[in-house]
This record gives sequence, structure tokens and C-alpha cells, in this order.
Amino acid sequence: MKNKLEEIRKKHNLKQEELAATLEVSRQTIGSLENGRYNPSILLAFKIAHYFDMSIEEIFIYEEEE
Amino acid sequence: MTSKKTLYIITLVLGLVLVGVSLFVSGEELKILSGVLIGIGAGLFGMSIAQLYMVRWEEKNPELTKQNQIELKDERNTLIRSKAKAQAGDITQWFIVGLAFITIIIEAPLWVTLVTIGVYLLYNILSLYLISRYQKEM
Repeated sequence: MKNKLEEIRKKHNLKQEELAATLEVSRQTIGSLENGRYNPSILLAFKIAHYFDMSIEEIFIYEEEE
Repeated sequence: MTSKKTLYIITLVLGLVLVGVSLFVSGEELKILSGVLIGIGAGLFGMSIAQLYMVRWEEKNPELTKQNQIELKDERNTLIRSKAKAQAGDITQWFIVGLAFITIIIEAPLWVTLVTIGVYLLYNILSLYLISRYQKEM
């Protein structure tokens, strides 16, 4: 699943460490999310969306598997 | 934090008491009991010292402790740990099967082969039980 997390984080002038501390996850999790290597749980997706005051769909892009 | 400290002080004292008691347990027939008491006592003592040191370290480094807690509870880390443990269990299972064959080849006593097969069966029964439990829970 693709996402715009890196772009949104940079728009908010946040470092990965800062976002990780706010969301209470590890910095590596933020890095993996941004690289698309890891898909978040629905709870973490909501937490991220709430933090940026956006909807989940605005951050995470669902693509049908071919 | 204080309750943790109290618990480890109790286990530390208990460890010392067990080692102390073992010194008074003498006689050929009680040799095994004395060994068991020393083993458990020393284990408890060592574990308690290590845990008390950790509690002290956590009190002195609240920021690092919080970060460690975050790392421990982090959902990606939790998933990685579970996946790694599950795979390690699967791999170990085949080593146990191999071990059972080796015990047959080297003509080890029958009970050794049976215990090895028992461990393999236990792994599979536990797996089935946990799968069924999680299917009900999730």
C-alpha cells in the first residue's frame, strides 16, 4: 500500500523521530511506513490521520491487487 | 516501581535463604535436594540482583526507559518478534524430527526416542490448541 506520509510529515516540518515520539512508535516504524515496506494497523493509521487532521484515505492509498 | 523493587528484594532474600538451607542439608540421600536448593537459590539471587539493577537504571534514566517501552510495544517490532519466534519454532520442529531419527540410528535407549517424539507431538498439539484459541478470540 502506497502512502503520502513522508510528504505530509515534511510539510509539517517534522523529523521522523519527532513524529515517532508523538505517535509513540519507533523511528524505524515511521521509516518503514514511508518506504511502503510496512502497512500500519488500522489503529495506527487512525492515529496518524488524527494527528495530521486528515482522513486515512488522504494519507494511505489503497490499490486493488491485480 | 516500588512494588517491583519489593518483589525483587523478597526473591533475593528467598534465594539467599535457599542457599543457606542447602548448607544444613547433609547426608548422602539428601545430596540431590541440597543441589536443587543451591541451584534454585543461586538462580533467584542472580536474577534478583540483575532485576534490581535494571529498576535502579530505569529510575535514573526515565527518558531512555520510556523509549525502551515504546520500542517494546511498537506494533511493527511486536509483529517482527512474533513472526521470528513462529518461524524459529517451525525450524526447530524439523530439528527435533531429525534428532528423533538420530536417536534411532545411534540405538539410544527407547525412552530418549519417545521423549523426542513427545516434544514434537507437544509442539504440534500446542500449535493446534493456540490456533483454535486465537480463532475464537479474533
